[in-house]
Amino acid sequence: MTRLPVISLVICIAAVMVFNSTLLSSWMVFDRELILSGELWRLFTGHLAHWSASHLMLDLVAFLISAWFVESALKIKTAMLYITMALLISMVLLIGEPTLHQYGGLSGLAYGNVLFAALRLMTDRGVLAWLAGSVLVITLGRLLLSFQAFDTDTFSQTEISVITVPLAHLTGMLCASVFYYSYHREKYHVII
Amino acid sequence: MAHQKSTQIQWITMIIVSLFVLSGCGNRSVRYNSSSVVNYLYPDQENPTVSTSIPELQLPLHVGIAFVPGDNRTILSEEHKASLLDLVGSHFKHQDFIDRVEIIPTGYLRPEGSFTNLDQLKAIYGIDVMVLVSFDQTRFTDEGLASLAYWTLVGAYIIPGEKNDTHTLLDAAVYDIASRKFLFRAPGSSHIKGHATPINLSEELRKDSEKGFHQASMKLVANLDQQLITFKQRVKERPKEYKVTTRAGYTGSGSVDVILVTILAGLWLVSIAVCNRHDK
Repeated sequence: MTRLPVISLVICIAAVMVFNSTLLSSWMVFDRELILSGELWRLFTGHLAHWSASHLMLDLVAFLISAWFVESALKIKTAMLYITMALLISMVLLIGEPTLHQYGGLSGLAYGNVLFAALRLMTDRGVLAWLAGSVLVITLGRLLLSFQAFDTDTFSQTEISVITVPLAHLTGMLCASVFYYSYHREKYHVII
Repeated sequence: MAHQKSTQIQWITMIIVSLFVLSGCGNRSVRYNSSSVVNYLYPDQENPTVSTSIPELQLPLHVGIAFVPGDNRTILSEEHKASLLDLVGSHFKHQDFIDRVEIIPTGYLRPEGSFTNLDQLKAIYGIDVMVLVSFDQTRFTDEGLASLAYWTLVGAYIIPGEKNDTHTLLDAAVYDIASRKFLFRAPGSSHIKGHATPINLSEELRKDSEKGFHQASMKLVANLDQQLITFKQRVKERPKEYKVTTRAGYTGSGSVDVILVTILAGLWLVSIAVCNRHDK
């Protein structure tokens, strides 16, 4: 856990740069019509766009904290996880949310990281395993509740109304769980 | 001596009784103004029921808000109505699942227009949900004991012997236009007490009326916030009664809430602490 999550830090810095540039935001945001017209990079870069400063801050904090546990285990393979999650989330949103016009936010990847981190910590014994299990249960519970009506981005400070898309979070978690069990069969201990 | 005493007692008794009678027989006037959502939406008293269907709420919502047409002796000017509607509408605008709020002048609502009128407003403004605001205001004016001073003529100008009581009730009823379904309501009330001289009575009554509406609207807004929370909870608990979809072309976000971030931060700190303990 003393290893700095370099790959995740680079993504966070990129997200901050995109947020601070209108040009980059418009060029990178997930936009359904533009993706279908051939701008496929948005399938990956869409997760870097954010709608407000509070949206960005919360996503970055959650992403980075959970990335600490993930990257210390996966190291360079973390990049593969992120690329897979980003692509899969975007594809699922294209197919599963046909009325979605634009999408942004790192939280899909953050939720995936949370699941990966929780599963990793749960292989340990002791208080950390229990805590990780509790975090996982709480996260899954809140995710299932968010599928119900009126779940909007209550911290959005933009002029537009932004609706939370829990399908992105669920897809991130499913992708991370498959990744975890596919590539890492051995038990993990918490790395000091 | 005894006769003089008896006469004095009689005079005192007459004065006391007169005072009681005069103070108890002060004139009272009552002014009453109201508008009714029921009269507007269900004008056909022989067949008052309207069939409803399951409301489909497309997020983010487009909301319209207007005062229901009242009786002809309206005491609220259009300007005043607009400012009250702005106050109520601003609380709807703060909700993230509401995209826009249209303030609709009362002139666009026909008396007893019913849901047909709402359909027309839906076509004009592109709204899905309508907030109908109605009011009921009763003003009592009584003459108190101080009104005895009116006999001096000057007293009528300077002694505020008129006691005014203004009771105001505002009600916001929210309807889904397409399904004709009533969604929820929020009330607000106020009671203003005041005094006036006969000369400036109408001016003071007008001020009390405006103050009454303002205070009632503040309470309505507070109740509205609470009712919105209750309504959102009810929609979640009864998915068969309400259908919630997203509007084509909506903007979505993946976002983490503060609670999850706090939990994660706590987990991270505990991990650091456990790791440090293992180190030792």
